[in-house]
Amino acid sequence: MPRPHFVLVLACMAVLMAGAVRSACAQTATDLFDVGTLQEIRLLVNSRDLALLRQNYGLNTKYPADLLWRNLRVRNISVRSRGFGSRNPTKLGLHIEFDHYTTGQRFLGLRSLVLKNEWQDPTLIRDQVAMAFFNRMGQPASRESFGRVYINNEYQGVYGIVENIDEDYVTRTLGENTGYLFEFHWQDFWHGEYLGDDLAAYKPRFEPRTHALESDTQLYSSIRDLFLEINGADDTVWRDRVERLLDLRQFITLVAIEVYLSEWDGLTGNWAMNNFYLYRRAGSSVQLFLPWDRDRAMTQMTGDMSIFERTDDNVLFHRAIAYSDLRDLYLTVLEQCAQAAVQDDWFRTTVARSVSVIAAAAYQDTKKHFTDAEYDAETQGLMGFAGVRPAFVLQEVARARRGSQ
Amino acid sequence: MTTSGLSRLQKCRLSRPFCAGAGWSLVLAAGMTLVSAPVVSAAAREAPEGGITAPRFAPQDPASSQSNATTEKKPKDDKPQKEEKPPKEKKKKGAVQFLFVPHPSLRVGKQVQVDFRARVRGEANRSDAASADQSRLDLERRRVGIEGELLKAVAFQVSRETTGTDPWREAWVDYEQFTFARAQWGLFKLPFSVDENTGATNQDFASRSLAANALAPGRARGWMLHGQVFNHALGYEYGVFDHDGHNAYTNNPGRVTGASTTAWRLTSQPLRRIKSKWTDLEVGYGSTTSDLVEGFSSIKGQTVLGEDFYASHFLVNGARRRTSYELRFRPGPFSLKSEFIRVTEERLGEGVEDTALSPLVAEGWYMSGTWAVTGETKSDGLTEPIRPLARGGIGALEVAVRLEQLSFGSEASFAAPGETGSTSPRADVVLGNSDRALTLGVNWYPNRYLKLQFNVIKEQLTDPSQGPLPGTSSFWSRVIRLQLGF
Repeated sequence: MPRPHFVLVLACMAVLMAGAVRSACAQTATDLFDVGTLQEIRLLVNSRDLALLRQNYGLNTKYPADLLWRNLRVRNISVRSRGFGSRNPTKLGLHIEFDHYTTGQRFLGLRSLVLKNEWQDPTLIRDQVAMAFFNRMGQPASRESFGRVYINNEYQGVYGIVENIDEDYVTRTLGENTGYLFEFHWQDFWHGEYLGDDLAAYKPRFEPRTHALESDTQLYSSIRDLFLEINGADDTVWRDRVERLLDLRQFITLVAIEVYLSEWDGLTGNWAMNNFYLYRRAGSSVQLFLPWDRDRAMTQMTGDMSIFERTDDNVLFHRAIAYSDLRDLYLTVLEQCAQAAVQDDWFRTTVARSVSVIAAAAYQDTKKHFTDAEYDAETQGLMGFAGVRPAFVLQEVARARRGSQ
Repeated sequence: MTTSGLSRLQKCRLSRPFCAGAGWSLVLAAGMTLVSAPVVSAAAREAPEGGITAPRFAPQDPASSQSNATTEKKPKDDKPQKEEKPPKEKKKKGAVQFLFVPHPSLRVGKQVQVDFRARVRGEANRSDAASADQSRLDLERRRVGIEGELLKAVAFQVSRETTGTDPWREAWVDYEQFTFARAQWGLFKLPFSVDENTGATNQDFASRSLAANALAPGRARGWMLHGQVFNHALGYEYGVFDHDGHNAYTNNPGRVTGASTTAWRLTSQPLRRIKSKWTDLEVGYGSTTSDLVEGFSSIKGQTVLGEDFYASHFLVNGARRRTSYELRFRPGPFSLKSEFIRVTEERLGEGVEDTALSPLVAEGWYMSGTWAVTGETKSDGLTEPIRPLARGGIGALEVAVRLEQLSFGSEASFAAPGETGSTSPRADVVLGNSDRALTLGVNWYPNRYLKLQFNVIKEQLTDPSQGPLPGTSSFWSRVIRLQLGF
């Protein structure tokens, strides 16, 4: 018969092991995107690959790696350099695919992940705060958190851990993933003008992320038709035709949120249209805009950016806002944004929490693009934006309503 | 006695006859001509002016069988050709003769002999796994060459295809004065794998085994010591070559193949002194070692008809090692042949943590059997039918069957077959694949010049997504090959 203390030890071990198993199994994407926790992600990359990755950071060449998070190790993932203006060899922006080399492999249910270097954002938190606000306003948005990133055990700095827009993302946000998903690539100052009948003009701007092997006609006809109708001359049929190809109200809502956030690099940004995905549901011609990469939100930290700033430049918005119900929708969403920002002091609290989560790691981040002083000043600026923007927007909306009466 | 007991030239005839091709129609036409030609050839052989009816250099390639069988009966005689000496001629010493025995041959006395050889081969293949345009599977090959012996001490052979970017097949000299130690230099096949070193003409099937095609090195330029020791009980071959053979060689700069290669092979007939059917039993072991620079391996898996089913996505660095175990047994009209080949490729420093990964592994095996229905003795070869077609017989008829498998992976993936493999260049558990094939064949030798083969092949892939028909794991193929030559 076993001794009592031996049985006790066995029982304790069983409990501990059960706890360990449960904690391992309980880890989900929600844990990874818990913004209240500074995550730690370690990548293991062969030293020769890492040298090539830094050397050729302008290319999208994929390299094999392993990812470690908590007690999980995901083997045989692919990493590549990413970003447009944020690409650099010092603090690499990284795009990770879990199933590139291993069919069906997922990490916490995710097919891919972006480690955003926040190279262009002195505060390192703009994108996370903006996406959280889109989400608060009921729009599809990537989940984001922050993490210390190490490559081969060398600290790379504070990164945004960003849910990539892929099939899993549209499943989560739109409830289906069989449609056509395109990533927009900035080519030039394009405000939505018609690019002509040749589908080739649309290909470099819209990269298919699903159905990539289908013909150009299947992929791009709806996009070409959309911009053809957006630029249609006949006002009497304009809205009807455009709404067959685009969720116009969703577009107006999206622009309103962006404008509230004083976004400089979005649909009505300083460099024309940028940073979005387009999704067309399966069996439908109606398309949706999905916001992406909002690290230039709140750039005008004084909070006094006009609610019609640059909106006339965009062909689609300019035509749409001429309809009174859409104009009213736009103003209403702006009002809702202001209310959502101040309700429970959400905006200021969110900014403060994010700052507190990353502060220590940010000061240790020697690869970041800005100095500690700039970091401090900009984070203070965000707090100021959070305080000023709601009232300013409400004032502008009220003025606009009076003007339209 | 092992084949190592033969002169290098004889062995070459056994194992590396010319094979060639002409247009399919040309082959058919020529074949029809030769079907009715043997009478002439036979008459020529028997004609006194033919001079040599059983020359030192057996006129037919299948040498493997014939000259080997001859030597087997007199194991102590390292020059079995003596009994094949032509009728004594009263010729002047050093006289120059041009003979057809039955191939063209130039003789200068007894000291110089140069034989002229040619082969044409046509092949038509059809496979359920091939692309819609199957005409590309039809093959034509033509090969010409010379071989001979000087001063009864130096053998040589030069042969090449008449087309192709890499036409040279054999180009070597062999100093073979002493049985126990001979030396060969030039371009020839590395001493590895009995199947790879059996010439296309003498293959029991239209194509070599998957293992030999993919894993044996093939030919390369180098030198080799070889011979027979312990009263012919043991044959040895040891050579050093520029690279590890044309089978794995590639011009693709993204792929790497073995550099300087050391190869050796031991063969033995352990029961050769026992007078029984088992005398012919021969076993062998071979090994090669090459250096691999860092890169993607050039070794790939192909189906019997050459469709890719595995392309290595994995970086290698270190050494490539091959080992083979072989067995051959030919009692009467039957034969049994089997071989196991394993290739490992090191991956030093290729892990994501700069550590070594488990080596890539490719393994292949086959077992084949044949039965000469018309009664010919397999070890004597079937190219001399008991009743040739032109003499009222049907020629020699043989049925054959082969079961084989070729598998790719890494040591880690072979050790954990349930684990999902990856195509990552630095994966430890790699995504492998394997092909198992069953081949049924009929070989027909109407006469010594002509050979017709018909094969039906059933193949099954473990992972069809990497194969020619994604989603379909098994498929059938059919091959007809016509070969003629002298």
